[in-house]
Amino acid sequence: MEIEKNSRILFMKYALPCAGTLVRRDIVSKEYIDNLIEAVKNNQHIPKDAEKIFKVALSACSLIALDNEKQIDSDVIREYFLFRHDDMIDKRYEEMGDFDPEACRTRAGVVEFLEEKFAIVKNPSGKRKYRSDFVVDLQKNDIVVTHWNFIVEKIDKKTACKMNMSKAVSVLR
Amino acid sequence: MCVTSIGEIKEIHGNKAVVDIKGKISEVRIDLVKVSVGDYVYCASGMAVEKVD
Repeated sequence: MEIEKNSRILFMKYALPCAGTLVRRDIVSKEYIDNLIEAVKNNQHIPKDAEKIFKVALSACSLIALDNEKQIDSDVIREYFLFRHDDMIDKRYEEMGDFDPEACRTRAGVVEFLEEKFAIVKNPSGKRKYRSDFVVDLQKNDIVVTHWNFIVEKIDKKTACKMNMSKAVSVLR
Repeated sequence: MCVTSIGEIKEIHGNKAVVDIKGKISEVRIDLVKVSVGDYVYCASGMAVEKVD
């Protein structure tokens, strides 16, 4: 299933942070991923079918879209990465056990300190430095979602609370 | 997380299939792929994401 044209960059912002796994396995080159990151940062054209390298995330979004009888749009992308991604990671870890599931989780957090291309974010895993180049006009105290070593986007407080609550319930299951 | 495993389709029940992934039996959704029993598919986290050609 294809991603709605206006939502391709959002999908890439969420998916690209874990592309290092694909590079390490020689599925794609580092240069290709670096070029995609540059394109996303600068809101430039994303090559046709670029998202297909993220087979798992694209398939998961496709199933959510199918179940809701809609296209893969920004709502579907956020539903997957903010609320269902961790369960997928846990299942994948049970199957493969060949990656660090904690590094792969998406987390809601607060920006505490800004540097030129990085920001310190406090989230449920503690305080860490993340790349901030996917987000323009980032400010101290902004609420953001992180994935691997990237800040993906700003989110509102309600979404952040829902996200952390959903993850807490998931841990209790 | 982005990497898949290969499994063999053993049974199909509607939009779900029983697959054998390296001897481990799992159930996966097959909405996104056209498959028959005996086909091999790339699987991850309860989904068949692509048929192996």
